[in-house]
Amino acid sequence: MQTRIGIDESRCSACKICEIFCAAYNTGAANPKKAHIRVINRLPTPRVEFLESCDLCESLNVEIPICVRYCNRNALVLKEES
Amino acid sequence: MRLGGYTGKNLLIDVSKKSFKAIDWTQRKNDWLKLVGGRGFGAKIIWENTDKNTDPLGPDGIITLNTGPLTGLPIPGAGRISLCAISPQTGIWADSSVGGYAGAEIKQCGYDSVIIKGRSRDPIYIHVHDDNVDFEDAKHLWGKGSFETETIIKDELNNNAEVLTIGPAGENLVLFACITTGYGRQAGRTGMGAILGAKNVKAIAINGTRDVPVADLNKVIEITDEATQYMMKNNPELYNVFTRHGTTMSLDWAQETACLPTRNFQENVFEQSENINAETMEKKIKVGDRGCYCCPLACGKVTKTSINGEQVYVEGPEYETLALLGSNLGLGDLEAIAAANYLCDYYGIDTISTGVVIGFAIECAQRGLITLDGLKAEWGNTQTILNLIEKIAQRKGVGGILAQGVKKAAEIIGNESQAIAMHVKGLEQSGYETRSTPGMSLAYGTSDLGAHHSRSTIVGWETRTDRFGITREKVETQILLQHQRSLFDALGTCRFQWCEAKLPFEFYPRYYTAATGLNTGQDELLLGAERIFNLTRMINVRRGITRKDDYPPPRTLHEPLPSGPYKGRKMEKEDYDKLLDMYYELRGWDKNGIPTKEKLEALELKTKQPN
Repeated sequence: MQTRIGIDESRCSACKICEIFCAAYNTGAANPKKAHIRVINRLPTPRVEFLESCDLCESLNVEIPICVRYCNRNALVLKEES
Repeated sequence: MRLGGYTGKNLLIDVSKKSFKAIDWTQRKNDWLKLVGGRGFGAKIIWENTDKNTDPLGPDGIITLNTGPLTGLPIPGAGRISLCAISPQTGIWADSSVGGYAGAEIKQCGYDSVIIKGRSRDPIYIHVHDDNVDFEDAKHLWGKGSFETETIIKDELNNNAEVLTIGPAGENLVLFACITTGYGRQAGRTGMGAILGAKNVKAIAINGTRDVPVADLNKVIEITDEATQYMMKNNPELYNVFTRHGTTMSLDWAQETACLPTRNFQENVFEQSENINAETMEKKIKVGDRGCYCCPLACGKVTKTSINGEQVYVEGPEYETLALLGSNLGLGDLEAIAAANYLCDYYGIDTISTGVVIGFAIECAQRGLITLDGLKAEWGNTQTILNLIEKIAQRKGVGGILAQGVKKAAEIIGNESQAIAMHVKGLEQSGYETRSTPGMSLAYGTSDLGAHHSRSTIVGWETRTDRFGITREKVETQILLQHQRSLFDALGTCRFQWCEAKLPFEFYPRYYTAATGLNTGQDELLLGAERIFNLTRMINVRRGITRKDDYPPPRTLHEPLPSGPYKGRKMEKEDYDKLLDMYYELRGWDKNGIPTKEKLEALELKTKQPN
């Protein structure tokens, strides 16, 4: 089984909460530019990309990656795949 | 804790000389901190750098973009900036608060405020990136709509910037041209777009990579976790309805309480309101949600409509647009309202002022005072409305007169047109009709911008409590609201978490302390907001504003409501004067509306103009 984060861009509101909290937890900085995820706002649907540096918050030793935990729109969902 | 929240520097850009410099304000730290940030910093900059004669469209005119101490931090809605200037439309103090994503970028470049002065010889866009500012050629962007301009610049900069841009209307100096960012967030009011247009600045692109300064990041996150839980758990219904519908949910409320501007504010109940309310919008045209920087509420609603058979998307209409481009024009067709919204955004004009201006034009034409270049002077006529938007943006035909706003248009048209021009201080009235709500009449009359709702939407409180009362309590509530709401603009965060999702106000002083490390309490922050309100009043006094300018439009005072549950009511002048007298007294202003020397001293405002 492998864990990955599924993206549903149609649910994304482009609020960048994922970027903001990813960076805050993983780097200790208020700086979304340091995040391992990137949201690009376009109409009608934003684009969401993970950077290669994303380790699913393994180094933080948390159950749910920070971006998934803070996304209140279910645009990011944890998925188990074999 | 170290001092956070603020960067301690402002950026001054001179587009005449294509030069820039950083200004450290920490040498006069106490003077600046007294005004909190955001709109407060903007007021200080405008007070010190303009005078009674400054022409906002001349090279000496300035426009400032002001973040607050919370802007850019992991706080719900903390992406806001206040654009401040002298308005080309009203000639007095102007500010327009906008969300989107550009605020954090300014902070990440290392600045609290950005000040732009001068006039470029050729069209340019300004690219601010960390310590550098580039002045890029914008000839290829001149004439282009807001959305296209934003995309082209983002593509040129590899998506590494947020963009604030004007559309063709700003280039054409339409006096209520707006500045757009994030494909649908507008600094809509008071003509900010015309100021950039006059400077030959098509857009400002900003890309900062630094950390946003913060005293205690963990504490900020802890408060945000608590605040988010509070909003979701304490008022789940409100939270869910607001995230689902945004401000469009107010349409039914305005209809039920009889406040919905209808046919140029002649009436306050719209017989087709169900065709343009939140539920219909969700069913018919909504395709998605938009949230500004770090906002879980996502009040922006993306909709689909068509222009000349071509499918287009737009963020909106929100409540104000539904009211002013919908009911106020007798238009009960949501797709047409969304199309009008799209055209306003494309050309870069404020949907509120545009709706009032077109309502005024249709009524003037019906009374035989003007003609509409062959367009039918009918309420709810989509073709007339969409054509007038284009004429205004391009200043063509009758649009040349209308592009100046209803006050100046009425001065040109003359006769009885001034009696039906819905404005205060030259700014068109936003989405509440107020003949049966004296507190809201006072809110429009005493707003420092002119007839704008954001200073105090007391209409909600008033219709729940003592609708027709002419009471001291009402005036005290009004002043408190004017300070509370000003504080959000000063902090650089959105007020909707508080006034819509009911997050207690007490969260904000906690945020301020966690962000800055300063133990400034709620009372002191509200005192800062009072200072800002008095400083912007002094800017207006310097520009000639007195008591005579603090009245609602003639229609509100002299023309009884012809229909609806409050038929026959108007805002009695005598009652209004009572409210205004109480307001001045409670504010420490004299009978003529001028802040007294004692008041200014008590607020420690240095309002003597520096050399």
